[in-house]
Amino acid sequence: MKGKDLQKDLKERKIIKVPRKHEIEQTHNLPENLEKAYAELQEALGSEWVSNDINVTVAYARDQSVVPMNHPDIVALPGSTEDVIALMKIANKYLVDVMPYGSGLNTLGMTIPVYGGILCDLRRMDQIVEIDADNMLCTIGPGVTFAQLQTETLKKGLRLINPSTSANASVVSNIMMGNISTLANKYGVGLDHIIGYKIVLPDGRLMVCGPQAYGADNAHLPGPGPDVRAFIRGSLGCMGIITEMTIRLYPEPQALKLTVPIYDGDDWGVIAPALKAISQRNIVIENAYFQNTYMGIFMGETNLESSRLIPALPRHYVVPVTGGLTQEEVEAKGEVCQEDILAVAPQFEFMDWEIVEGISSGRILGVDKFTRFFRESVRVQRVKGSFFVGFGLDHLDNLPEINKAMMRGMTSQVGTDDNVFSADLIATYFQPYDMGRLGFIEFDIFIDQSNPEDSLRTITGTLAAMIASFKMGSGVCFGIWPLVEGAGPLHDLLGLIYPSAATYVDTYRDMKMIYDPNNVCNRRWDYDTLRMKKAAL
Amino acid sequence: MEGKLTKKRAKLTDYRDDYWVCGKCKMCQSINVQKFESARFSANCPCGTRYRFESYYAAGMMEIARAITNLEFDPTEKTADIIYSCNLCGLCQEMCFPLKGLHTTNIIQLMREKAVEEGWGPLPAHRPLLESTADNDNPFGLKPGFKGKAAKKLGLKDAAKEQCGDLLFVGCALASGSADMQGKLEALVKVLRAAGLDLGVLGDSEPCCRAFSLALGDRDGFEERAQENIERIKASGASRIIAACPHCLQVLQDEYSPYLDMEVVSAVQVIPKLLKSKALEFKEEVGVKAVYHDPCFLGRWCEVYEQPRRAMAAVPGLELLEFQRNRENSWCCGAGGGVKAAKPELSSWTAQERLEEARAVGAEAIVTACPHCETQFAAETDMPVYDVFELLARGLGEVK
Repeated sequence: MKGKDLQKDLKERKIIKVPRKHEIEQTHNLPENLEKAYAELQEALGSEWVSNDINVTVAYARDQSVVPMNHPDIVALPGSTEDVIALMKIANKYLVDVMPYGSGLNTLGMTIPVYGGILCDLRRMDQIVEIDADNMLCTIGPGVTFAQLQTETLKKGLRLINPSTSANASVVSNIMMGNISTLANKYGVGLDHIIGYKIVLPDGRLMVCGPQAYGADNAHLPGPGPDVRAFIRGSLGCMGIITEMTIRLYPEPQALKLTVPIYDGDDWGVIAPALKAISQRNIVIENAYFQNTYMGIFMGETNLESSRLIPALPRHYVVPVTGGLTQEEVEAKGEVCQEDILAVAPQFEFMDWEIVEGISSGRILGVDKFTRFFRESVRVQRVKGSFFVGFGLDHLDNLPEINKAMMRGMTSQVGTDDNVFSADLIATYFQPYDMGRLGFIEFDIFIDQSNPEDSLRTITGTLAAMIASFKMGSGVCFGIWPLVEGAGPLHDLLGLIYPSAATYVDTYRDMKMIYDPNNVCNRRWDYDTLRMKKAAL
Repeated sequence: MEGKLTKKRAKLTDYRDDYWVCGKCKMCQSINVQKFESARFSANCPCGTRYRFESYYAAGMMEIARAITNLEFDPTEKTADIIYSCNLCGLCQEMCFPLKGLHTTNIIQLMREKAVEEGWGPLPAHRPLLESTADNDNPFGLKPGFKGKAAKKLGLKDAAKEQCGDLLFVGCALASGSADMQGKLEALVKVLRAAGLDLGVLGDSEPCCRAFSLALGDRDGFEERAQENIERIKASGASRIIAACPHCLQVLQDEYSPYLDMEVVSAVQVIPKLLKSKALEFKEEVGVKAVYHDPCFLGRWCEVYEQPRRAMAAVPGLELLEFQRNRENSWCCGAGGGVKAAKPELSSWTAQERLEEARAVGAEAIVTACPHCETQFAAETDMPVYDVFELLARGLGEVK
């Protein structure tokens, strides 16, 4: 070992400074305040659970997104609601930003602290407080993952609404983001499943929402009102930190059937009627549309295998999963689904799940696991790198045309020669919602972050797709907004797309200013200018 | 360096694409989600689960690798503390590589090599292990001659002088001379002899495999005697090496075998075949209800999962249970990667987690196939801890 010489050599080397951003004309996160906040946090949470070491902060500086990296100044791991209250009070006292962090698993850079401050990592709060089988509900901490919760609820014959995210994502974080799943048509999205929660408001006060706010148990209605549960919708942690949430559960069917309707043509017009027909009949538990890209993802054990499989697969899939008490019941329901689809879209053919399994040489998940967990092979595990997700809501009937316009903007898949993205790099997912009244579109672009050209191409392609969706009168948003320094808060964008919603979003902004007077909780824009502050390295 | 292996060394930067593209998908933070039996026993990473900061999981360590190779900051004592908190159990890579293609454990190991090369690693508590390896050719501070003593009691051929079919590579831990280890070694020899194998041992000529040097990042220390070690092993003339310890097995298989032209197997791997050919038969009731712990280096590193189970299934009266986290998803005992020496609290906590899981599945004893796991568990519990061969030997009963 020639350690000493090399260590000396190391010190003589020019070390590039850590790329850490600060706002210009800094108001928050002043160095002297950070020091005091750090000391008080150590006292409140225990020194074991607070760190400002660069080796610790670096792990929170980047995620799957193309959002530029930035370190938090302090990482804190609260273990209880009391810890979170203490943390928030310290943040207010010293004017330090707080970035909530559930499992840190997102594709939009949402937990990268824009200007530093405290990163509040909630993974220690991973208690499944209660699974109430009689009333079909459970209460969990924000560190509980889908895989953990689903494993425990299934033991009691119950399931939760699993979104198409990673099994290791935080349930609470995902639900706050919306949580679209293949169950959304029948049961609604994750936000519709919130019975109640405890939230530490940005000023450090604890608020209980739902039936328990009135001293009732969780099985009761949250009456008599007003009901403020929805104020966390889409708030991205701006409105406080949830430390406990109660959500609905559903009975796990005894039998399941998945007959896969496939269509290998170019007429996107057949897809919405097929989806709608099944949605409105209301006999399926799960219902969605996948492009072949997704099916390849589910089937392939590796990225390479997925890429090989995708071109060999039919282009379009509707995925109706029927459930019931017996196999006969689910078979009968499956037949009704087939009839409903053929009545409106005779171009469809039907493939048994066993055939799908055969195509993948038996490597695809079994139908039971696919429907119960819908997780192992889902998207974040798909690519070596990342993917860029765009999402929006519109009438189900409009989605194929919106999708076509977006694809035309960036790929050759619908008849243009601009081969910007190949079939296995882009995927579309339609999710009927609210009995087919509405549809959710997810438009994913898979990228390899190690390839700068790929990243650049993705950003330009994304912009093209967004503009295409705007032209269609819809608003499919991609997570590039945080890239735009000097931009306004998200509601400006919403106001642009939906002018009639301006007062509504202004009210939301005012609520933020009331409950977070010091603007510490996931601060993204300045109260004085209503714009994002410029940042500098 | 004279006498070093000619195998091309890997560099941390060879894995640049891996640590740059880690997307923090968190697959490295639980066992395979399809194999969850409970939320309680779903974690996979001992140091991440103990310290909870992202940096102590593979995803965070990828970020550290990226930052230090990108010269974003100077490695510090904390950097060393983090990368030496890892047991190198390989479960993060077992989860990540098949789908995402990242070599997380290899990267952690190469960060350690970088640390040793640049002088910011290993941790002070590791120094005696490396010094003893350099001075005495074993990491435990044992004086030369201990392997000869252990071999003498076995009554096997001296492979340095006599031709033998199989060379039993005993390893420093099993040859260390303690009554417990000697008992385990004798049980192993009893079973293999009962099957009629033509066994020999090298005794004092048996070199240390230097798995510790590799684990701690001291590849120079590992390679310094490698050529000589290969010659010593080759000189035995045996056609097969039977490794008694999984750590020796991994080094012999992954590092030495390209230069040996000998088959390298674990002792437990040979049993199912011997049972099939009726060379071995277990008749005695053992009356034990034990759970099998997959050692990381036997399981994930060498992919030996079923053979020990098949061997034990043939023993009458042995009720074999499974941990919730078993085979590829097995939780580490906490002894590996130099953690026991430098971070005893973490090491002990890791073992206690496993013991709680053993109690949760109703085990009355633990059985495993690695001397390091056995020592680790025995120090942490009153529950009986067996080596696979101890139970097999009991199943043999009196051997004529």
